[in-house]
Amino acid sequence: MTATEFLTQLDAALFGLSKEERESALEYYREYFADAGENADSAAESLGSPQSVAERIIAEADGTAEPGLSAGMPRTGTGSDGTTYTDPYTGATYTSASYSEPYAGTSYTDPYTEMPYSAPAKSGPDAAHIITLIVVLFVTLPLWITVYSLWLTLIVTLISIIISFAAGGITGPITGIIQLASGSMGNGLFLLGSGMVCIGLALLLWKPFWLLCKASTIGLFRLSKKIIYGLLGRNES
Amino acid sequence: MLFPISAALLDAMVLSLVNREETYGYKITQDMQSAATVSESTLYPVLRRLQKNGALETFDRAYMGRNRRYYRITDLGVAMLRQYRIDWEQHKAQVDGILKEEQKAQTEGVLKEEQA
Repeated sequence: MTATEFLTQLDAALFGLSKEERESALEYYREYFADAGENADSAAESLGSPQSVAERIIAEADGTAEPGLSAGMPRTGTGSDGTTYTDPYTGATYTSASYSEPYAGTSYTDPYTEMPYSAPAKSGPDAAHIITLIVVLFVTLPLWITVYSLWLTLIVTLISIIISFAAGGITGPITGIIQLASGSMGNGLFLLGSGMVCIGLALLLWKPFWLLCKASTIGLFRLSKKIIYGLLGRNES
Repeated sequence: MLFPISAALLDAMVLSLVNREETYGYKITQDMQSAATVSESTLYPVLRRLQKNGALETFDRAYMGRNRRYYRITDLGVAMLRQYRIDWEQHKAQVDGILKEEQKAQTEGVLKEEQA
């Protein structure tokens, strides 16, 4: 797989992630390949499949990564009270104390520098976002009721057309045969023929109508989901 | 992969590399390759997580007509790294305590046999 193919497939596989997260990941890999220079294609090869790379990114962004990978993992220093430790890298000496640091959404005082830190709060829908959502949905009530009504009308119309053709296809030939049996040739043949036409149309239109129903439903619900997620601030995280 | 690298250890290693110098994604990956067992594709999520936790921050610097995103360690990151190093030393000592104890016992056993 070439680097370009990798990026295209990664972009597709990251569908559903917020725009910011997706752009950040794509930018990282675009830069990664640029830095790899002429080895870009082999670098892409050794990254594995774009789908599995995307899975990891999505798991991390959603905060659904496996427990071992979770960000807010409280760490507790144990058994280190009062022991001195020489940093092998900087040569500095520290005296450790046991403490736990639940990173997400809290602040704590670093036991070594005595400096307070506050970690960025975990992203998720908060009260403000939910209120915004309710207000926006209320204000746009006429709009989305219209859109949903149109969608419902479309579905009902398509189903009605199919049902009426099917009904015509069944009753036409039956009454036609009765007419023929009772001796009225003209009426009988006409009803028989139009019944056949109805059956044909029903069979012909069934498939495209079904696809139209499916596509409009999926499209509408995806759009609604996207708007609601947007209002809940998923994109800002 | 004889000894898999845990998520915490991966965080610690990345923090340590960024602590040495302001660096960028491809270089971090290359540097991590020396630990051989780290899959190249696991690094972006680690960097992104550390950045979101406030342990790392990013900035762009022009390089050969394009922007390159650099990572820099924050005070929080330095504190986390310090704790990771303490934890690692302990962990290493505990593992060594078991691995080397057995070695010692074996040597003692051999010595006793020789004396007998």
